[in-house]
Amino acid sequence: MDMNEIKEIFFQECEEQLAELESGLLRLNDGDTDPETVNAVFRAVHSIKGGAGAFGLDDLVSFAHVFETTLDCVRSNKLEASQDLLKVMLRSADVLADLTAASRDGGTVESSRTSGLVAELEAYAKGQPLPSASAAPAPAPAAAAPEPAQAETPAPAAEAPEPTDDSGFQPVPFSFDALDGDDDLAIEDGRSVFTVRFKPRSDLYAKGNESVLILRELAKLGDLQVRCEADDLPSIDMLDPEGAYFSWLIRVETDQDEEAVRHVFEFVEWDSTVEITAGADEEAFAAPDAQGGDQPMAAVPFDLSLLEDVPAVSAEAAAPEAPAPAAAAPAAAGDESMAPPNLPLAAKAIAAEAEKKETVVPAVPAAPQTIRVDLDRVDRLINLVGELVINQAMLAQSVVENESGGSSAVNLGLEELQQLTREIQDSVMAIRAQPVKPVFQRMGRIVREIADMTAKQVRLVTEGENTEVDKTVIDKIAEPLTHMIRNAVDHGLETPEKRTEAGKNAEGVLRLSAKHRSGRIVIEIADDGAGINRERVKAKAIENGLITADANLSDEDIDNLIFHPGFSTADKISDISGRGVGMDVVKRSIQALGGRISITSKPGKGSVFTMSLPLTLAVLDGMVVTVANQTLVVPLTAIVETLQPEKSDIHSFGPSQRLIAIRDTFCPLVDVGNILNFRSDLANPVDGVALLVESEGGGQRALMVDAIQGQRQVVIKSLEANYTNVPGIAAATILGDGRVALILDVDAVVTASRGQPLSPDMMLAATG
Amino acid sequence: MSSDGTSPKVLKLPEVLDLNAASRLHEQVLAHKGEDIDIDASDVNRVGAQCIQVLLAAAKSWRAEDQHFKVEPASEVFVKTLQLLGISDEALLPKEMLK
Amino acid sequence: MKKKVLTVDDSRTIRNMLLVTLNNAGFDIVQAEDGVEGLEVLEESNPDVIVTDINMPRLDGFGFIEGVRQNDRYRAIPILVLTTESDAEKKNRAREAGATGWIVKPFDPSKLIAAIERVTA
Repeated sequence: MDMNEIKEIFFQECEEQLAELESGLLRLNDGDTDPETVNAVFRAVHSIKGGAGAFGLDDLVSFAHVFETTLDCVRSNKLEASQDLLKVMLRSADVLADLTAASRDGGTVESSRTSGLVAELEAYAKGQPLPSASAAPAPAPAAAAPEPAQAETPAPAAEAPEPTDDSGFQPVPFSFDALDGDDDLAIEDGRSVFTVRFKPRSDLYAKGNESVLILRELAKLGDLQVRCEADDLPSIDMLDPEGAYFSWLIRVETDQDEEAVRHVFEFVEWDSTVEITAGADEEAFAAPDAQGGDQPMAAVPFDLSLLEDVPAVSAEAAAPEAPAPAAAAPAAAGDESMAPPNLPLAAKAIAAEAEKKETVVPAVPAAPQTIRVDLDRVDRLINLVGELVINQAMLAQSVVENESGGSSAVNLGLEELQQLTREIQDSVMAIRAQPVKPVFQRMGRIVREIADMTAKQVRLVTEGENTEVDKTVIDKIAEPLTHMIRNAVDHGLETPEKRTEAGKNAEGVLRLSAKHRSGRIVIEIADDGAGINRERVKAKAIENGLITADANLSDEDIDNLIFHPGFSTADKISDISGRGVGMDVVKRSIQALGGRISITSKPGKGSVFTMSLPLTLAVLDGMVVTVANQTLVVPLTAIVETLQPEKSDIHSFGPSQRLIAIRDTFCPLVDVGNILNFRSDLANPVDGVALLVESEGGGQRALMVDAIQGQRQVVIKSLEANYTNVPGIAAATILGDGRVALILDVDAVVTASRGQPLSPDMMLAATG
Repeated sequence: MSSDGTSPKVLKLPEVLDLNAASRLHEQVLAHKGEDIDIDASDVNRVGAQCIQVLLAAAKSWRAEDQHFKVEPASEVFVKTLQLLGISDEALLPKEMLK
Repeated sequence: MKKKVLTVDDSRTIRNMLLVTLNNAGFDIVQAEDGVEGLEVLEESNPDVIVTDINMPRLDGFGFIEGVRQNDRYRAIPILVLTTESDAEKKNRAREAGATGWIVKPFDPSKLIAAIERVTA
């Protein structure tokens, strides 16, 4: 792992922290008063700041620092989490997300956005909130700027300890006198002599510090003369074995400065008395040995290597006292994704607690154990299971072919194998399943932004956010969902004034929900707005030539006109939905995922958009067909019905255009073999089968194939991994008999039938 | 060697004599109060100041009561640590070992 | 024998940085994600030194340090606090809880190693 990979992890983690941040702020906004919610919000910002600091992302650090400071005020109950403050914080969370994205992708965030919020946050932290959010000027001069990360370097060791410290430590006034031309100072070649008096208190040892190590550290600086003063040592009966009786007088001769000497005592300053003076104190060293001996102390030319390299505890010796550390290590060491074994741990913890009655661990319900696995590994497993499914199907087929009737034992075994394979496949797919929560959470921000832009009041309510769906689907629903949410706020909900006029609450409600229904995920976006204005939609459609003036359309038909390409009901193109993205594009991208979308609307009450999507894009229910001796798979979701054309149903139209009569309408007939260049001439429709499919524009086409072989679930294999894009083909699969079958890209084929040539950039259905 | 002619008891020190070992060492030493004792420090490969305090206090008490108290044999780490700490008391180790 | 370091930090980023830094310096590493897990891992890993964060879910750094210091078997282990806080209050609280020393984030790998070397035998 290198720094770039860690940076990647950092940005992933930022995503999670930002989601945590937003959901926490929203809970607070809903009146949650659990201190842990504030703590979690604080930690999220804190964690982003910490990581950002490690990568020198100064903009991110600065903003996170200000945000964190204000959150800390809330956390310590110095500041109330008012609705106004939470609004500022939600916007700050959005800016933090943008700053994170900018740090990752190299963009920038308008400084006015950050500086305005910085001013507001700082004002709150000072207890003087600015009068109103919108009126907040953006002073943010350099002076108001948050302190840069660099300011957080360790306090210099020489700095006096904080006055809040009550451990009894007295700041040591050390003498600079000796610096003024004392001869002792410069021994030779810039080497200096310092005299150190060091008297530890027992707390020093209790906190895991050790005088031996302090002296060892000093010895690294140069030559030492050490005298231990043991006058305070009581008799053995009176001795507290964990007391501190020794003190030391040390002469250090070093080429380093006093700062370096003082630094050695950085961690123990509070738990000991340390005096450092420049120059030698020959008098003190000359004094008779306090222990009773009268020998002057000898210099200690100390062999540091000995203490350095000494093993802490050798493996053999550790065994009796500390049970098998070596055996326990592999479980927890190294790879962080390796969760420590669950049961023995818990058992130990309980036993230990019962034994010692030390309730150190608060009673927190154990979080479900999770491991983090590289997606590539899961994908590989999914591919392998896909192979297994195919292999099992091939085995079953060859048994059928080779010994018709086969022994019942073999057949029974095969059946069990099939069952197991299916279960394995389902379990493996479940690994990759994820809740839609992160995507739903992102929508909160979209709603806030658009509500701001359109001056509407909107409350987003989410339901079923723990509904799980395959990661391949999750990755692809965010974009259509964003457009639909934008559309719902922009077109669906009314302005507060209009709502009040209509006797509704000024605040509109947008309900985003997810649930599983018959093997698919259904996502609904419901608004309590004005509903579709059918009169206007119809007028617009007539104006655009989409329908004739006398067309007799049901309400549902009119509602569905909004999915027609190029349709836009907004009288003026608004900032939000006027980005060239209409509901037709949304519909097309959902169809590309094998999904469907529909709308129901009640005038005055609001509209509900419902989209249903497959739970995974890794397997597909398909109809296996034959076209010009090739085997193709047509996604079942695209097929409305299958037909056996009669000669009388077929009507030619120009040299190569043919229509098929289906009940009382005509539908263009598309020869799949011809479109895909499997054959140059057109097949006779009467010899084949027509698959009625719904295309992107909402119109229908009849796809001509030679024969239907059957329906089955197939494992999708991306072609792009092995070949380049093949026009008209979405992907491939391997059938039970080992043959490769191509999966038809229905929309591309339909588009091509309109006279537009098939080209790689028309590929719509990506298979992941 | 011993004052009464019987061979001294031997107290073998563990490898690690840190904060955690000090109390136990204190108890063990006290248990031999009034007896001649040899401290075997040959296995010691880590020793902190507090255990040295215990041993030095013991050495002084034994000496005051004219009992035999000697650290021998001692590992190199033990000797070096005493040197580093500037313990020059012969009660604990023979002078020539501290040189 | 390699020295074993137990790191306790809820940030995956920091955990990975510690892992890489300490691995490169030749340490054995055991990691935990919060104070509760830290105390559990402690029981089975018997580390030579602990490096812990302060702000963590479930059990924060202060509580974790107190937990270690109250444990008869592990109370002597040196504990270094990793913190972005330069403010005196946090450092004081960590010291009062029984921290041996501290490292200020964003940590400099060489300073981290030096601090570990300083507090371990």
